[in-house]
Amino acid sequence: MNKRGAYFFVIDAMIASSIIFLSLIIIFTTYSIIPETNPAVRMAEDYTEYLINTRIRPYDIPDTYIHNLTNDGNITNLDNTFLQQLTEFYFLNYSGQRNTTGIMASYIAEISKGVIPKQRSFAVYMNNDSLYAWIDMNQQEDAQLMIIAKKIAFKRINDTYIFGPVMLEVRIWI
Amino acid sequence: MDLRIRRNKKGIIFTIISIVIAIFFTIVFSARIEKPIDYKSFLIETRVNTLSDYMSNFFDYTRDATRVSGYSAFQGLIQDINNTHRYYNETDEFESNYTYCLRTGNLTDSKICPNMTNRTLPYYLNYIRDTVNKEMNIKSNYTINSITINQTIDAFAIELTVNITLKINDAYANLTDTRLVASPVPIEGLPDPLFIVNGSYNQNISEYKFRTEGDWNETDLASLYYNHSYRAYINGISFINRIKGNFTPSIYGIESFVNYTNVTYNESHSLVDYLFWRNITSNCSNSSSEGKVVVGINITTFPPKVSTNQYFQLDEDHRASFIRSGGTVFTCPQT
Repeated sequence: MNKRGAYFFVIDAMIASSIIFLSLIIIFTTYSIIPETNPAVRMAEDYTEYLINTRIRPYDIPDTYIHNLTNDGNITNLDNTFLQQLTEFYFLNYSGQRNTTGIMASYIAEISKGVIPKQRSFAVYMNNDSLYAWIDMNQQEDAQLMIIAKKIAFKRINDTYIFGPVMLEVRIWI
Repeated sequence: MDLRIRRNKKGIIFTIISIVIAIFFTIVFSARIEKPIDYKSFLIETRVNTLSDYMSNFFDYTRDATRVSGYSAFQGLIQDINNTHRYYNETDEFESNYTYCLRTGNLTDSKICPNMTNRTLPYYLNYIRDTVNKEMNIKSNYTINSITINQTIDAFAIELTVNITLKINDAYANLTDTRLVASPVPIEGLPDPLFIVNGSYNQNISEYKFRTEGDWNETDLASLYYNHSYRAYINGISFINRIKGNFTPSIYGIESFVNYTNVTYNESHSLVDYLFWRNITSNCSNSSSEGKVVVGINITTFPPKVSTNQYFQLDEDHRASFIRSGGTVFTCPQT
């Protein structure tokens, strides 16, 4: 009789533990699959600010892609910001003066190294034209969360012409 | 029997306690899933930052647009000088016509400013305002309060200062800011009004960039002359005064030299542009006690003019600033 009682209590405790355990599993699982928007928004905003505020000159280091672009005359003003230079490349392509699609993609890949984590997919657009895309897992259309940061870009080309404003769009998704 | 019922009751109590604990944890953690009351504040903050960024971009764009539009307005104004062959020499005529051209594309109510189609300052500012409205759903409007023209820094740039107010109306914030936006407008490449009105040929302004410090020498003189370049000269005539036909020396004065093979001159002419084209002469005789003396420059880079055997001529002040000793001849017999 005492043995049966002990079994009953053990089984009862196991059932209770299971209920608690399952409840916690359900709670934590539900909680963790909600993607956090704030860090992604911050990342997109920080990235665009980085493009707007960083000048090329400190990055003109020998044996880098930026230095190659400077040497072969594609970058003519080291005091341009990353965004101004990108806008200039885009203008050259847009106006038909030179095909810079490859340069733009490599340039964005170079300046984004270590700035956007590899685990995040991201793409850069100007005036709705895709300039660069890094896809980690999901395609854009399958994204669970997508953050878009838009900024205004323009570049004075010479004394009588300003190109822009055009819209720079940075998309980061998971 | 009683003992068995009591034991079963204990089991039920334990089960209830475990369910209560489970419900407790469920409620506690579910509360964290719910959106907090201020969950929108981050979105509002992001939107307000976007508005603030636009405001900053707008004023940056205004700076570039003023520079581009200002340069085009100079082209238009000088085109008008070319058409009329007169300086803007009435009181405030230059200032009022130029700023009106910048704002409206007209010099006056009845006269268009050439070359200003789609180049006025409001054209550029309307463009950014409308683009941002379309792409970012930001409604804004601006007012140009005033435009002032100055030259206080560089002989080869005119400073335009635009007093402008931007108002942004948005569901989350209304922002207003008034700023003074200063833009240097370069004069490089613009036709020189002095040559247009007084000269027999036209010449565009091109800054001599090979000497930024130290003394000028014969090589600089030859380079200035043969490249049709201009140098900043403290007693020269500033670009604005060249538009106004005001030949008062200015600390932002500029000067160039007239092509001596293309013009007719006598022994009293200095070939400095603002002296020659205005027919201001100096003595050619060293014995004279008054005024400057003009001399011929006898160096290999300036051979005598074939048709008349005349040398390139400069007044003594200019000669001394390029040639320290020798290399000169008198242009008339000395008594």
